[in-house]
Amino acid sequence: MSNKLKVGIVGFGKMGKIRKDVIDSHPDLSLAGICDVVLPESDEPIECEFFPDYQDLLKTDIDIVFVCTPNKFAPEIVISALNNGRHVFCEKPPGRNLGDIQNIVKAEKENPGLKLKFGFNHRYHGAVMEAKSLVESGRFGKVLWMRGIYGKSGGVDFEKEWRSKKEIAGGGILLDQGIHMIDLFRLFCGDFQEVKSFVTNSYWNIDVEDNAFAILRNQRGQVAMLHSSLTQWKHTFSLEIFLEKGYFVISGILSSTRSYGQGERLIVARKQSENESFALGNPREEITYFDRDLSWELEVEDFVECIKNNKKVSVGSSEDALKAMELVHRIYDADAKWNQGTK
Amino acid sequence: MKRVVKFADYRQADIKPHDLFDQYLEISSEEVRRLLIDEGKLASIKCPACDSERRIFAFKKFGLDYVECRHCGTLYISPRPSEERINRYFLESKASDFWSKHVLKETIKARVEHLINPEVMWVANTTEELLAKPEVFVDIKSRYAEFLEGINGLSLFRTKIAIDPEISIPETLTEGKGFRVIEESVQNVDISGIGADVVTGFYLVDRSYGPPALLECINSMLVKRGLLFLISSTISGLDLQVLWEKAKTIFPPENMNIFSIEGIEILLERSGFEIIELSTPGQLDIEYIKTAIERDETLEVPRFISYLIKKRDEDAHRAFQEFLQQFRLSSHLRVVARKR
Repeated sequence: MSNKLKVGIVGFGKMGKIRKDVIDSHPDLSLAGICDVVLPESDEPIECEFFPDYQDLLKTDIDIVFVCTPNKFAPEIVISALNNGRHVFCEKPPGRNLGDIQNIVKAEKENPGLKLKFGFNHRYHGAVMEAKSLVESGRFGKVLWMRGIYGKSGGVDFEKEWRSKKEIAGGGILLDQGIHMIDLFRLFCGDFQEVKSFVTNSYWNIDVEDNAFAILRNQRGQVAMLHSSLTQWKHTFSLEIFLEKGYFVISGILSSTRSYGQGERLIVARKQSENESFALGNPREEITYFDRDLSWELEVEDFVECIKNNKKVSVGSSEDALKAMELVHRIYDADAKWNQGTK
Repeated sequence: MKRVVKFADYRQADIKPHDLFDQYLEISSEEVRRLLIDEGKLASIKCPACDSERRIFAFKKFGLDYVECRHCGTLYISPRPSEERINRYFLESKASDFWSKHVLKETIKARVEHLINPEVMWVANTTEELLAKPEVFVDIKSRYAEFLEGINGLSLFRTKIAIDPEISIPETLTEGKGFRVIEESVQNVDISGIGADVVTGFYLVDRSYGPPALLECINSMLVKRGLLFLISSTISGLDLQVLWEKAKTIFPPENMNIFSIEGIEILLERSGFEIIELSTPGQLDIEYIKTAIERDETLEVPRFISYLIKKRDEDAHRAFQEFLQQFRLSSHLRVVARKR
């Protein structure tokens, strides 16, 4: 008899297919069912049962549910799966609004034996993990400030996609993609108490934002700046972290399209000492190039370990999701003009 | 897998002063012929990287033949003297004596600043990132007390062991919670119970008679998911490819094996390792070629390389060296591998 954990995927779009590949290659997981509103097209036969209704999937003996649906549908499915005794992995964002994640947290508390994790996979990028380790070593001193740029261009027919519709998505680029950067800000500096922002819709003919500019500050005086953009014609991921004794720059993502630069890099440099007169303001940098993105595998591996060993989910937890969502909504709320326009 | 590009402010002359190094090579040439070449006692071997028997003669150096593997491109000496003779050479030859008393003595300060201290930080940073609670550190064939000093000063490991060091380890490093020294060849050591989290072997595989057996031994010494740090030369690097038999940095027995990038990948894979980092962060490929051209006007190098060196400035050379590093085309190799 197999000891593998049986997995069902609800939502078999781009993310559902990525999760399927990871599940198929994990020695402790077995894909038992897929649910979507339409039978998925695939060049390869999918060797598991198909369900047009997730409630029918939940009636089977699966152990885990991966929720990979548009934001509008995710909270109901997550809560239902938890209430039916299933461990849940849910893509980010954790719903459309704060109420969604608060309801999920409530359901999680009512099912204490189950594990719930959210797909904040950027924490598992090689460059991010290495930078975090260097920060924690203390050898570069305390973080002073961070600057994050995360943007893409939208693409052809973007206005027709579900991500461009408030009713389905709940928000625009900040909620969809910028939330990753907010999660990384929290990874390096914890929570932020003060928020200033401009949130705009400057180009796309959609009912959500296509740009968000935010400045955050915490009680330790650490400041984080974010630009989340859907008019970033050259796709960009960049996180600069400046510390007392040096800096790190994480740039690029190893996406399947390779559109975010040539790859993922981590630049590390030390602040020059006062008596160094050569190349002032141009410290020697060490650049690490990462050849592979293992974040999808690593976050699922972490989730499976939590289930197998009954460990608390510490990365991508519901608390992480709630805090990230709170910050997203504080950024929306901090721009009174945007708020008035959206009410 | 990842790769690292980095720059330091040192030149060839800082770590291998030309005249001193030339003297060292002359002595090495004599000593190799005296101590290592005994025609009846040389043995042919298969490629130390991929085990292939397909090879082609490359060139002779100090009386020994370098051959190039037709499968993976690794350069290695075959037929080769026995392991015992090679080990004895490093302990007893006039070349080794000259190296430590003259070359090393003159360059140690630069080596500590530009090579050894960064190596300590490399081991420290990578260990801290990848291992939650490292306890046991092993260095094989230590060449620099300063490296062991650096590791000692980290307070990262509970137990530190130096196996078969090539230097006398000062008492300051062995007292208290310092290093335990095992004066035995690593393959003769009882490795059961060592349980190393980290093993460092710098310029180890280059000089090894049998790298596969050596790496198998190291693998057995490591705990599951323990880390191996290697530094060596790679024949895939620009200066070695261009200069080939004229490369002053290729000579026996310092380089019994010069792995290609492909070769080291195969060797580590078949020795039970997964490669975490494979970098060629060398600083000196362009400079080695430039120096070789300056010192021998008759030297033939590819026309483009000659043009680049003679007709472009330091900025271009630096950018080109960065390109070599980024795409694993420099001849200085460093690897972090994890036991599967």
